[in-house]
Amino acid sequence: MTQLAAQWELVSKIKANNELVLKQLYQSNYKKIEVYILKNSGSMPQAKDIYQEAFITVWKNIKEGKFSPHNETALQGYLYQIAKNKWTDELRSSRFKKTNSLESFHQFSENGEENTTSLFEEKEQKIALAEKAFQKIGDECKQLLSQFYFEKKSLRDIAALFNIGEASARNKKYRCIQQLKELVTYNE
Amino acid sequence: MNKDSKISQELLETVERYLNNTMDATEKLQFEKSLEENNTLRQQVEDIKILLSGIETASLREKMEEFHHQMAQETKEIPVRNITQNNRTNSRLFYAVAASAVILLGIFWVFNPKNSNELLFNEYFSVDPGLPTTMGSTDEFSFYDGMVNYKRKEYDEALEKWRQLLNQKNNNDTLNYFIGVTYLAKGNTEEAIPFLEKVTTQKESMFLEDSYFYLGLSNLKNDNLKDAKENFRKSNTQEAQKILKVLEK
Repeated sequence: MTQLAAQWELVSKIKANNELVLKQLYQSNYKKIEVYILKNSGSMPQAKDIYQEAFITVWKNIKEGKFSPHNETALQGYLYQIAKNKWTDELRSSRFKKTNSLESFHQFSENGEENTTSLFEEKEQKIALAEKAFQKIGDECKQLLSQFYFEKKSLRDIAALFNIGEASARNKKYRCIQQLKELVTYNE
Repeated sequence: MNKDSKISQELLETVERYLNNTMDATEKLQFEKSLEENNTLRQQVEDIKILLSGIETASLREKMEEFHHQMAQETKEIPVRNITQNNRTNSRLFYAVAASAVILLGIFWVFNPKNSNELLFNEYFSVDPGLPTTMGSTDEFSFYDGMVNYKRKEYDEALEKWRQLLNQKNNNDTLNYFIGVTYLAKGNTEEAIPFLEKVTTQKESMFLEDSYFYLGLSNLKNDNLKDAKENFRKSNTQEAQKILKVLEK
């Protein structure tokens, strides 16, 4: 397999939420970013937060087909770049709060793309609400939904895990989704 | 999110099929057509997508916490050794101890040749530190997964993963080398030797010298002195030369 083909393979496994691949990607790239953030006046918890946000962004962009590897280390470089950008934004935003001149500069620079940003942000906010609601539903629902939608396990496997029939697993999944939706609309 | 429009089970499963790309062409065409025409449906599908994204993202966050925790554990277990100052004094100390051990062993060797093979083996055998488990450009995940086991001294798990890989890559020197070294770490020289020998047939392998060294140790452990010396002679590593000196006294 060529190295570029290996990157494509990697991308398709990330799309499928392959745990081993995600783990390896996560663990093998963290140190470099931690070093960068620590060198640039950040703390360890900040490094972890920024890295995890960057990781989610990369994962989402891959899922939405926004990323295609052009060379053999494209993905790792992409993750690094996004984390760096996020840290730069973070540094800027905390300085904004203290500096007026920068704040007005910020407003000016974002005017042009206000519409697209807000649409994107609206969706992100909705997903964040769904995430919060997910934390609040019962443990059983959490497990079942996570195994079906994240780990992509089959209903049959999930039924076996919960020691129930396949039909009840299917109904349970539906009821859990209903619960989740109710919680989200309640919180909105 | 729309409070009043209830999502039916059927709709949920239709959307699942749509997102997973498991609809047949006719169904997909039909579904996309109704999406275009029906605003309520479009809104409902959007809502479902957001719910599913929320589930996936929250699950990934949980996984990341696990990954992070594991990583922190591992760095705690394996002390970082790349502080150069420390390393230098350590290695100086190591060579001093090693040198005196060689002398002592030499003396011991003269008086008690029988058991000293085993002793010499124990003195010189240290498990290969393994390869860094960063994700390289290849996607040999099960190889690196095995490497994680190997470093944790879970030799049987490592062997299971690597031997399976070996079915596809029979001649791969890295695989053969680490399988051999793992058997040796388990004290199983009989199994180790054929794998290490296989590596030594590849003269351009970066594991060539180390393979001869470990092969020599295996033969030494088996009291096969003739082959052991032969192996050490072919390995240019410092350790091999030292052990050879002891053997040829």
